Amino acid sequence: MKVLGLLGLGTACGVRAEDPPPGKFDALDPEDYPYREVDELTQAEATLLAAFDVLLPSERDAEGRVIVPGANDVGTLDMLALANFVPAARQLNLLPVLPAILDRAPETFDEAVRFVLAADLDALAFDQRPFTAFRHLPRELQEAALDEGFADPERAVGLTFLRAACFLAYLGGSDSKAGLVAIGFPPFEDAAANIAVRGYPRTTDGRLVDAETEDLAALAAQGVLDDYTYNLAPAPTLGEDLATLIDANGDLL
Amino acid sequence: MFDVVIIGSGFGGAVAAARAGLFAQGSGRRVLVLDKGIDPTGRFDPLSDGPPLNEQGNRFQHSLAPDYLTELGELFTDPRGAYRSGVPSMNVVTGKGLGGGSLLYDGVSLRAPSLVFDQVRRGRRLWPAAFSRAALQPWYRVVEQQLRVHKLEWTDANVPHWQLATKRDFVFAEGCRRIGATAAPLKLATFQDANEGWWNQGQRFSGRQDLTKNYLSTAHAAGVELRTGHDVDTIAPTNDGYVVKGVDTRGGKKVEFEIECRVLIVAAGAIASSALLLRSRDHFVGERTLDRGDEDNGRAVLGQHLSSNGDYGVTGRVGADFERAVESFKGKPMSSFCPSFWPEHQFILIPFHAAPLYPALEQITTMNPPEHPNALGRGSTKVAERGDGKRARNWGADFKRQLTEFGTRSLTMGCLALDACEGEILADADRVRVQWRETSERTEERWSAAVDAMRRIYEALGGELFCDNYRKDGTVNTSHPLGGCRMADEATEGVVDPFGEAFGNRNLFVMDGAIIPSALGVNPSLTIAAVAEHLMDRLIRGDGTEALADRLA
Ligand SMILES: Cc1cc2nc3c(=O)[nH]c(=O)nc-3n(C[C@H](O)[C@H](O)[C@H](O)COP(=O)(O)OP(=O)(O)OC[C@H]3O[C@@H](n4cnc5c(N)ncnc54)[C@H](O)[C@@H]3O)c2cc1C
Repeated sequence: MKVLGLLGLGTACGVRAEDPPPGKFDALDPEDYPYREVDELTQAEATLLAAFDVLLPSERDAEGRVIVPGANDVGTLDMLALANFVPAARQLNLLPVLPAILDRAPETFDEAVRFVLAADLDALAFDQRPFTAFRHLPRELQEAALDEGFADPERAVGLTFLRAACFLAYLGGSDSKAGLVAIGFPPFEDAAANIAVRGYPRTTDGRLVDAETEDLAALAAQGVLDDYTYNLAPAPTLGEDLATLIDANGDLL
Repeated sequence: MFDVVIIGSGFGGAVAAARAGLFAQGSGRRVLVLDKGIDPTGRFDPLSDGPPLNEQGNRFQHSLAPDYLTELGELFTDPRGAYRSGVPSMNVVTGKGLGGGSLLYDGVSLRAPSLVFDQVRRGRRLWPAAFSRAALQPWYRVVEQQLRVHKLEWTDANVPHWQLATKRDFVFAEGCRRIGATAAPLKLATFQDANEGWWNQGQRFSGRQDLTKNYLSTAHAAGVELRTGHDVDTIAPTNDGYVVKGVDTRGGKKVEFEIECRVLIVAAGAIASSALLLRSRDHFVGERTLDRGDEDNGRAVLGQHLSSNGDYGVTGRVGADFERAVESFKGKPMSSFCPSFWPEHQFILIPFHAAPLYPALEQITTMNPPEHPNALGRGSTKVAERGDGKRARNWGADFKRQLTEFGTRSLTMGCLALDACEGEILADADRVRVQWRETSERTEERWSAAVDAMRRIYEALGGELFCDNYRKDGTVNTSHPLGGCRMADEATEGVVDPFGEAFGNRNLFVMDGAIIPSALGVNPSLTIAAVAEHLMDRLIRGDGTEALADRLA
C-alpha cells in the first residue's frame, strides 16, 4: 500500500465480498507479492473496463456494433500500463525514489495498480449494493457509484486518474485515432496503402480530392471544395509591412 | 585507434560526421560516431536495438507510449522543483538516437536574426568577433540545401500542396490580425510530406528531412562507422589524443568500452556535452583544465550560461466560431509564426501542436479535476447546468461532449525569445540536472509581453488561455537548450575558442548546441548546423587553425 501511496493511487478500500479478502490490500509489499498467480487480477481488468465504459461510453447500434467509440475502443486500459509509465516517471521525477521492485517486475506492479484501482471501484460499489463487484452492478448503480466517488475528495483521486487515462487515450491518439475521428477529424492514415491521409483538399461531403489530377478551381466554382488552403488565405493586417521584419527567404532580418 | 571520434549525432555531430567522413574518404583514416540512442533506420548500425522496423523501413510508431518515447527523447529536470507547485524549476527535452533532435523535431529552420550576434553583456560581445549573421549566411545556405528547407506558403498559388501551412495556422493568423499583428509561414526542413502528424514521435511516412536522410547518409556512404547504444561516460586525455569510456548497451547487455582517438569532437547536445565535460573534468588538470572561468570572481564557465532560448508555452482554446478549424492534431506541428513583436520585445510567437508532449513537458494537467484552474480542458469540461436542470457530470456522455468540444478547439502557442542564459547544468556520477536560478528582469519583461499577446490572441478568437505553468509555479520548459560550453574569444569567458576547440586542449572540440553563446530567439537547429559547417570547413582547410590533416599526420 505504501508503494501505491507514492503514486497517489491508493485510497481507502472497504470490505469486499467475492473479490480478495481485505487483508490482501494491506499485504501489498515487495516481499509478499503473489499477485501474478491471483485469479482476481483479470477480474480487476474487467472491473476497470466496466468503469471505463461508464466514464466514456461506447455507443452501439441495435446489433451491438460500436457506432461512436468510447474509452474501451481507443486502448484506454493500456494507458495504465506501468511498463510504459515507469521509464517516463523515472525521467520525469514524478516519484522521488522508485521502489526497486519496479525495475524487477514492472508488469507485476502494473497488475497491482489495476488491482487497487479496481478495489476502489468495488469499495464504491459496496455502498450501492453490498457484496457486489462494480462490474456486476446494473448501469444506473454503476453511475451512482461514480457520482458518489467523484463527490468524495479522497476517492475522487483514483477516478480522476482513470478519467485522465480516458482523456489521453481518446484525444491523444495514443493507440488509436478513433477518438479523434469521432470528434470530427478526417481519418489520419491509411496504413494498408502505406500513406498518410492528409484530409485535404476534400469535398464538402468529405471525399478526398487528388490535388494533382482534379481541377480544384472547378470544384471551388461549384461550391463543393472544402479546402482551407484554396479559398481561405488569411486577410492581411493593415498597417504592418512584413518586409521590414523578414527577408525574401522568410527569415527575420 | 580512430583518427576522429564524434560523440553524438544531432545537428552538430551529423554535420561533423559528414564533413570528417568526406575528408577521410579513401585515405584509410577512420572516423567513428558514437550515439547512445537507437538507429531508427536500421541501415547504419545493424546491431541497433529499438522497436522493430515497420513496413516503411524505419522504427517509428504512431505511439505515445512512454517506453517508446523514451527511446527517442530524454528529459532533464531539476528534481528539487520538478512537478512541485510553487517551486521554480526547469525541464529540458532533447532528442536521442542517430539523428539526435531531428528525430522528433518540428523541422522549423530559421536563420538567427542579426541582432542576436551583437548582444553584449558586461560590456563584452557574447559571440566571438568572427561570428555574425553575414558570416554564417553561406553556411546557412549549405544546411538549407542539405535539409531541403522550404518556405511554406499560405495558399496554393505556386507551390505543391505539401508545402502549405496547416489549417491551425490560419486560425492563428486570424487571431494575430485581430490584435494588430501579422503571421507569416515558416521555413521547414520538409519535402513532399503528406501532412502527416506525429512529427514529435518520429514520422513513419517521411516528409520531414531528419538527419538520417542527409548528413548521416553522407557520412555512412563515406565510410564513417556509426555505433548506437554507446553511452559515453567520460573522456580523458592520452599522450597523443583522447580516450573515450562508456557502456555499450546494445543487445540488452552492458559492456564497458574504451576507444582511443586522435581528434575528439563532443556533440552530445547542450546538456549532455556539458555534463560529459563536467563528469570528466578531473582528468583535465593544470594547463588542460576545462574551466578557466574567472576564478578570482568565483565565476565558473563550464555548465553555466544555459539558455532556454526563451521558450514559453501555453495552452488555451479558441471560440466556437473556430471549432474544428484548429485541427491541431493533424499535419505539421509548426508552420507559421508571428514576427511582429521582434523589433520591440525580441520574441516570436508560434502556434504548435504538442499535446502528446504535455505529459512530459508540463505537469500532467489532465490529472487535475476539471474545476482546477490548471486542468487541461478546463474551459470545455467545466461543470455546467444541463438542459434538464440536472448538474452535468464530468464523465459519461457529458464527458464525451466536453471532449468533442475541447478536442476541436484546443490550441497550443509558444514564444521563443532572447533570455539571459539563466540556466545551469550540474552533473555527478549518476545524474544530470538542470536548474534555472532566477529569471532576469529583461527576460521577465519579454515573457510578460509574450503571454499578454498570446492571451489577447485567444480572447480575440473567442476563447481563453488556461494553462500557463511558468506563471503558476515558475517552471521553465524548453526543447531548445543552448550553452553550457560556450564559445568565446577569451578563455575566461568560455570553454571553447572560436574554432570550437577546448581552450588548452588541442584536438578536443565541442560542436553542438552547447557552444552557442546566447539565446537565438528562433528555433536553433539551423544555426547549430551552420556553426558546425563553418567550424568543420575552417578545420579541414586549416583556415586560422591547424588543418585536420596536419593534426592527424
Ligand atoms: C520536440 C522537439 C522539437 C523541436 N523542434 C525544433 C524545430 O522545429 N526547429 C529547431 O530548430 N529546433 C527544434 N528542436 C531543437 C533541436 O532539436 C535541437 O536544438 C538540436 O537537436 C540540438 O542539436 P545538437 O547537435 O546540439 O544535439 P542533439 O540533436 O540533441 O544531439 C545530441 C545527440 O547526442 C547523443 N548523446 C547524448 N548523450 C550522449 C552520451 N553520453 N553518449 C553518447 N551519445 C550521447 C544523443 O542521443 C543525441 O543523438 C526541437 C527539439 C525537440 C525536443
